[in-house]
Formats: sequence, structure tokens, C-alpha cells
Amino acid sequence: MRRSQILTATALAVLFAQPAGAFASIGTGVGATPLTLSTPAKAGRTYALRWLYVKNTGSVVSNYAVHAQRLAGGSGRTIPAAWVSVSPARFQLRPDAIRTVGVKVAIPAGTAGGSYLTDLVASTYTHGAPGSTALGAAAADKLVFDVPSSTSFPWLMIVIAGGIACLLGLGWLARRSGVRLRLESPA
Amino acid sequence: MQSRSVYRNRRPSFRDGRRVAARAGLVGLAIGAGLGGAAPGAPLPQTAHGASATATIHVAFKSVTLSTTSLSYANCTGGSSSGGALGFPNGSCETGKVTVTNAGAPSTVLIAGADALPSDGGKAWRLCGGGGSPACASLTPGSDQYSETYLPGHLLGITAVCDADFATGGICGDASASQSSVEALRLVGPVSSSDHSAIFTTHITWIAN
Repeated sequence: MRRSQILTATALAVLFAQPAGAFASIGTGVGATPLTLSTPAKAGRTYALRWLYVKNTGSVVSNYAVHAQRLAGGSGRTIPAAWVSVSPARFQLRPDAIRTVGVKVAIPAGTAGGSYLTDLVASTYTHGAPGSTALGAAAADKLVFDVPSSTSFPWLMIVIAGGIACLLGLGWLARRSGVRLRLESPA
Repeated sequence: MQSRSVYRNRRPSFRDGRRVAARAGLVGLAIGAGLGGAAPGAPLPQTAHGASATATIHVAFKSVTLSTTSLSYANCTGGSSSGGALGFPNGSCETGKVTVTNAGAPSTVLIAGADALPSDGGKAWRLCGGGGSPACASLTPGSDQYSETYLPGHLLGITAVCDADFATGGICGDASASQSSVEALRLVGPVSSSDHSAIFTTHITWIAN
């Protein structure tokens, strides 16, 4: 056997001697584009958002769960998890497979105006053997929307318009009744 | 100069027509791709005549991948520890290494720990010292407390915080695509445990945010 053949055979033997589990990995990916509403949200309504993409970036079949949880600080009000529903919330993916998850947000009536923010977290965990630590790989996509501030009722404009209407009405009545006001100087 | 004006004014040839048709075909494909991108995998809309083209849209992903599916605490020392068994008071153990990779688009990699739950469902050991967790009783964890660090010595808490191994110059920022970090974990156990289970489990999560 030539030397190159011996080297090749040895390399293959080493390669196949590695247990498959030694290279197993887990991973989670989500779409990198934040989920937003194209128009300002209105309190008391429910909105269906664009899909959340979840991808298995690991090398083994894994179970995934999706939930809403704010991770980052910063400005903006936190969207309560109870406002957000995802479907399906739990599913299984083969390596490299992608699943779309529907996202809805229900904004209760009376919600204060402002910018609202949370994260949609997709995660997978290993089932650690006794004595081992379970590892989790997760990825989060932002969910953002604005609720416009409710403007106060325009009482001032109504009062001004009402005053002008009254003056015009009085003038019209005075003309119809023939009343004339004549101003004369004492001289 | 003359030849340029001649080129501008000449009649379109058959070859030019093919070029225009090819460009039109490209534009049509791009528009079709844009329409089809809303729901990958969904059937393309039926058209009255002619052929249809299928275009693949690649969605940008934020992703974190861990190089192993299992990580065990071993090499326990301190207190009554031996081998892979944690002893009291305040024994400590270390794990092997795991490679954490920011496998997708640039993103901030966060890390979070959790309380350790006994196998009998009794009183958990609270993770102490890190973000969102209670302070440890002293320099070392107290009763029913434990601390966990990812080397070289960053304390873990139950709140997800920036993984310092991905920070640049101590500043938390976006990890670049394919940036990876080899990490290992170390825990310090409690002074004593109310629960007498022989096995406690916990988990550590890395998050691409």
C-alpha cells in the first residue's frame, strides 16, 4: 500500500471514530427585522403582525418555545406579555428548518399613548442528563408600536366658533327688524 | 466623435431587443420575488398565461449556536467535594468548554443563569450575586444560595445581561457575524442546603438580541 493510501485510510478512521454526539450543537435564530405596525395603533383593537421567523441553527432536532419578554432597557413602555399571543407557541424543528410564527397584539381600551416595546424570545433547551447543566440557545426579535396620545376635546375652538356664530346671528336679526343705530356728534 | 453620434441615432437591432427583453425579465423576476417574499413556502399565485419563476428570499437571522448539547460540572473542590460531587460548605466545580457563536446577523449576545432546582421539587438554591439576583450572604454564597460565573470571572444572574466575552473594550455592543467565544462555567455552592436531594439542576441561556 502506498504511503498516500495509508494516510488517507488513517484520516478516515480518525474521522469516523469520532462519536456523532461530539459535534452536536444547538442553536436558535429569529428574523433580524423588528416587528412593527405600519400605522399607529389604536387602543381597544387587536392587530396581527408580520410573521416571526424561527430557525434551527443547530445540528440536532430541537423543541422551541416562543414568548414575549422585554430584554433590553432604554426608553419606551414595556408591552405586557398578556397583550401578546403567538401561534404556535411550541414546536419542533429539524436542523436548518424555519418556521413562521403568527404574532398578535391586543391593546386594551384606555391604554396610554406612547411608544411600546418588548422582545419575542424563541428558545430551545437541552435536556441535561442528571448532574449536567441544561443549556439554552435563544434569539430575540423586537416588537414595537406606537399608540398616539389621545388629544383633549377642542373646547376652545368650539367656544370661539360659537361666539362668531352668535355675533353673525345677532347682526342678521338686527337687519331684519329694521333697527338702525345712528351715532351723532353733539355739535 | 462621429461614430458616437452614429451609435446614438442608429435603429435598435435584434440584439438590442434581446438585451431589453433580458432586462425586463430581470425586473419582472425581482417584482415576483418581492410579492412572494411575504410568505415563503406559500404557492405562487396562478397567472393566466405563460411561465412563472420561483425566487428564493433569504431572510436575515439573528442567531446563537452552542457547540455542545451537554455540559457537566466536574473537578469539584472545597468543602467535602470529591470528583464530580459538590460538597459543603461552599464547594466549587467547573464545566468543560462550550463555544458560543453569533451565527447570524450582528447582534448583542446576552447570557442569563437560573436558580438550581432539587430533583425532589423542594427548596431551590437561589442564584446570587449577579444581575436580577439577590446578593450573596457574604463573599461566598450563604445557605440555599449558589453563585455561578463564566470565566474568567463574570457573575451570572437571572436577568439576561451582555456576555462580557463578546464585549469590545468592556463595552457591550453587537457581536459580528460568526464571532465566537469559548466559555466555561464555575459555580460555588451553598454553605448548607435545606433540601437533601443528591441532584440539583440549573440552566444557562445565551440569547442573540
